[in-house]
Amino acid sequence: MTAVDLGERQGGAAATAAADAVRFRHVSKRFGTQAVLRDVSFAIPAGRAFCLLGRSGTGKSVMLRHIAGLVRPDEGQVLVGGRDVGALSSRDLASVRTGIGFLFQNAALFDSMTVGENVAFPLRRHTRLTEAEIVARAHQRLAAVGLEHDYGKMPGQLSGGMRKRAGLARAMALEPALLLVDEPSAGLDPMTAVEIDDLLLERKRAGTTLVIVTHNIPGARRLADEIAVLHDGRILESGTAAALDASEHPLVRRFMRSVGGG
Amino acid sequence: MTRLAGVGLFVVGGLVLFAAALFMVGDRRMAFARTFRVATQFSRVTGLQPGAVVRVSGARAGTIRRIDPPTDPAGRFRVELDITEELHPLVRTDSVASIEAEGLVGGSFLSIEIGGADAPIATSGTMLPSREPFEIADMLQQMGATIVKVNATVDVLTGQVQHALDSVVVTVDNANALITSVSDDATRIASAGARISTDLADLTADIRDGDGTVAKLLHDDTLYRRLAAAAEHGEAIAGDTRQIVGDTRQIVGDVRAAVERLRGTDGQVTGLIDELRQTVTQSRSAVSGFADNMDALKRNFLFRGFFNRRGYFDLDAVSPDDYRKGVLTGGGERPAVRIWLTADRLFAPAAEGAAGTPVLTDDGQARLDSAMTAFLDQLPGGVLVVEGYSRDGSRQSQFRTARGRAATVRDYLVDRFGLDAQRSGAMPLGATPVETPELASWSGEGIALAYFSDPARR
Amino acid sequence: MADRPMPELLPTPAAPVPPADRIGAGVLNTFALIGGLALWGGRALVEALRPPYDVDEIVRHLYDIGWRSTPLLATSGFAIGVVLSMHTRASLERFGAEAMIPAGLAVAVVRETGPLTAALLAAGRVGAGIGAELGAMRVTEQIDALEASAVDAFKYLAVTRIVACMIAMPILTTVMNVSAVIGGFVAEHAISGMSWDLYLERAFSLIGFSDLLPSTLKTIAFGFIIGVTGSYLGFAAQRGTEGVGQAATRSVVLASVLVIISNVVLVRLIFFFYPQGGA
Ligand SMILES: Nc1ncnc2c1ncn2[C@@H]1O[C@H](COP(=O)(O)OP(=O)(O)OP(=O)(O)O)[C@@H](O)[C@H]1O
Ligand SMILES: [Mg+2]
Repeated sequence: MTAVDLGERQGGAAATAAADAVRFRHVSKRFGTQAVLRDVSFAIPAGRAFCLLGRSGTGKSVMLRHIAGLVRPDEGQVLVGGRDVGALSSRDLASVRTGIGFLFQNAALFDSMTVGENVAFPLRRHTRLTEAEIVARAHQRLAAVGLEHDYGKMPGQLSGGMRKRAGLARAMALEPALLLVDEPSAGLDPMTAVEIDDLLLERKRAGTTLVIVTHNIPGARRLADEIAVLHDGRILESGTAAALDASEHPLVRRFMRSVGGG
Repeated sequence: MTRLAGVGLFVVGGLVLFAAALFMVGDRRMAFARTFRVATQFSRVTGLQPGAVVRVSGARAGTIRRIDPPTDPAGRFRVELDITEELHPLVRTDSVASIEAEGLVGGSFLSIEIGGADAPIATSGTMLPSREPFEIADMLQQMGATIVKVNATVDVLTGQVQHALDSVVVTVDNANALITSVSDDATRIASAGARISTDLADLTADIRDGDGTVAKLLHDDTLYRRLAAAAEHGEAIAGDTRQIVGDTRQIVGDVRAAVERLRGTDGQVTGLIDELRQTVTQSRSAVSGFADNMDALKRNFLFRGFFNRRGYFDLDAVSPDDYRKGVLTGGGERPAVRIWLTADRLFAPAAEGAAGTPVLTDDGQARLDSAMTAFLDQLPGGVLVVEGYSRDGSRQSQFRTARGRAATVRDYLVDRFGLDAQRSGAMPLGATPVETPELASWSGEGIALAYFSDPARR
Repeated sequence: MADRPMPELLPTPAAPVPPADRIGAGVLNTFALIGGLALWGGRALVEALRPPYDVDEIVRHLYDIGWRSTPLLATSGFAIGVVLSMHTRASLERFGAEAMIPAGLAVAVVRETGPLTAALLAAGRVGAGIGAELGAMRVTEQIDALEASAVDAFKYLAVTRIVACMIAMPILTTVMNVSAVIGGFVAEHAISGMSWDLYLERAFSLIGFSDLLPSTLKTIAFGFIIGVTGSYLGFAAQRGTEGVGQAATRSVVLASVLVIISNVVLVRLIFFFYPQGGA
């Protein structure tokens, strides 16, 4: 599938729009004089895994922020579950966000809480579970990312990779239908990286839509139903790994051949 | 949990402190006391404001509620005030209200004197009689005039004394034996005169330089009375001096005559000597009256700061608390001598529940008279305080009874012995004596005569 | 990296300007800042009244802002009491009015010195703390993370701190006043041996409700200013640790200035309602 194809699909029936977990419609975004996104359009069907590649500073993180409604597009629309996040009231936006898990590029753990409390935080705010259930579930989430012994530690006491994993545990605490993951394996050893990928794969099998920003091409090949390459504010090309391997863009092929580190 | 405890302590503690502060303020404002409301009128209110303090005989008693200005120039300001029920029995329909200054930096307050025992107790809405405030400027003028007058008289009289002395010395040149004695006395007279003028000169200089004496004078709420007394003393001194001069003249005359007679007749020497002796004694007593008056003037006039070493106190302003802490003993320099007297020996038994002043029995008066003999010889110098005690009933009623007893005895003593009102006081002390009474029958009911001697005299 | 602050919360930063226009731009920026603060504060007041109330968070901040500031305020208050006592002694001694020292000190402390110093100290300690903490949260995307977890970060972070400041300020002022009076007593006792009872009696002799109530309650406004300034500048922190430091310093400076300026207005207001100001 190419960017052109995407454009065509966007003109299709409204029913497809509802079935898409995420859809960008001609989204443009600039910061000051710098145009970061230029007329970007694509769609991610529910339950699929979507990997975003691109050089540093091309706007991948900005794209994830658009999905979570943290940034509003200058032009165009971002639809999540068929709703335009840029135009929602704060209450509706909150209800959309409860269905989204977000792993930030630097984990963004709350410094004032323990790691365990960080993971428990979404549970406390958005569920009616008892204290014991919350703690039990937070423990379980931490164990899933290999941090079962670090519940009581403060974020400052963790290594970068551990923080990343704790952030992922927090993002997955509510078992969201849509998981936004910014460089999950950056800073992790290859073995842990594989374990994280396994975890994400498991989520995907459970029906979660994944949007993954990554520099780890082997991981992307394992996970992604569709891979897109962001360049110069636009999606240069998107499709399955095999399709991209066969791309005529030298840049895309170079990307796919790199072993990647993040 | 420790965090919650900290926050709890912080919030609750803060509220408690704030509430305590509010309570202190309310208590001072008598916001929680039961009060009754009376009114009075002034044509000048000199700085009196709603909310200002009301004192009954110096004790904090309430607040000014409102001040209504007159509607026409001939009218007067109507001042309404609340007084605590505690002091109600002291406020009679003849209690005089006056506006006084709390001191140089403090505001004005309304002072109410204790009423006469026969006058009915003031009720809600009673209009109390008032005394118009007087201006400090008038007072200063009056004081200045007095000083000038005393100074002038003293100057003149000193000259006369000196002159008289000179003639004594010259005239009695030959009668050596007699003359030594006379000239001693005369020298004392002269130096007394000189002392008066230096003292007064010092005082005027101090006042002019403003070393604080003036401010301290102004500070006092009974300055007017003191000034009047000072003027009186000044006049008395002038009179004394005049008499001394007259006496001296007479001595001189007598001596002259004696010398003549000695020269002329050679006989009857013994009779003459007697005569002379008598004259000298007269002159001595005149000199001592003069010295007493001078002393009184000094104390009176220079009551704050001028003769510091004598210790400062203003009996009306001394609170029972300060008194207990010994402001009058001047740090032990002026120990008190106490004579204890129980109430049943002094006062007629009061009808049960009858508020009002206790009455001294004849026997009680006699007891007081005999007790006073202990102090009589040193009276003019020191301070006599009548301590009132009572351990009956609530603290308020203890205070009231103690106050009534002390005041009655003090009034009697002032009358009987002509005590200086400035140097005698009544101090209600309730149930706790200042020191253990050395009296077997002491029941906590009664009075003590406390005499603070004058360190300057010892 | 941190995103720009939410556009509807904050004025967009002014574009670079030529030096000649800098003064004009400065004035405009100042107005924009004041306007932004006013909107921020107004919204905070509305949000503070609207449920849900994050009581746990308010308690947590009360602990930091109130309880942990108490030692600072108490010691400063004590020292101020001692110094004020010495000063009033020096000037009142000249008039022979030493008896007025406790009253003079208490009036000075309760009416103005206590509330204002407490607010300035709090602006230093608390304002900087809020600015730095929220600045760091902004810069490390924690505020975004909160928003992304469907939590109203403004309400959760800013409003709770502002409310905690408003609760803590009058209490801290009371602590300050009390320790100043105690400090005054210690100084007075050392010099003249005055008893505590007499001191207290005299200290309260000139203080009325109209001295104590408005001047203490006005510090709620000071707390509001400190909280609003700190949280506003913290939220507006620019990327990087430098931005955090800047948010902290600017919070202190701006909060202190606003406290002093608002004090003028508040005192005028108090005199309007209590013309006697004393009695
Ligand atoms: N809040 C912002 N204000 C100004 N510029 C921004 C802001 N956020 C992002 N940018 C700019 O947008 C561009 C894209 O940033 P983004 O963080 O999306 O990059 P990225 O693709 O995630 O890079 P990396 O792989 O290094 O994380 C960058 O040039 C950045 O400077
Ligand atoms: Mg990024």
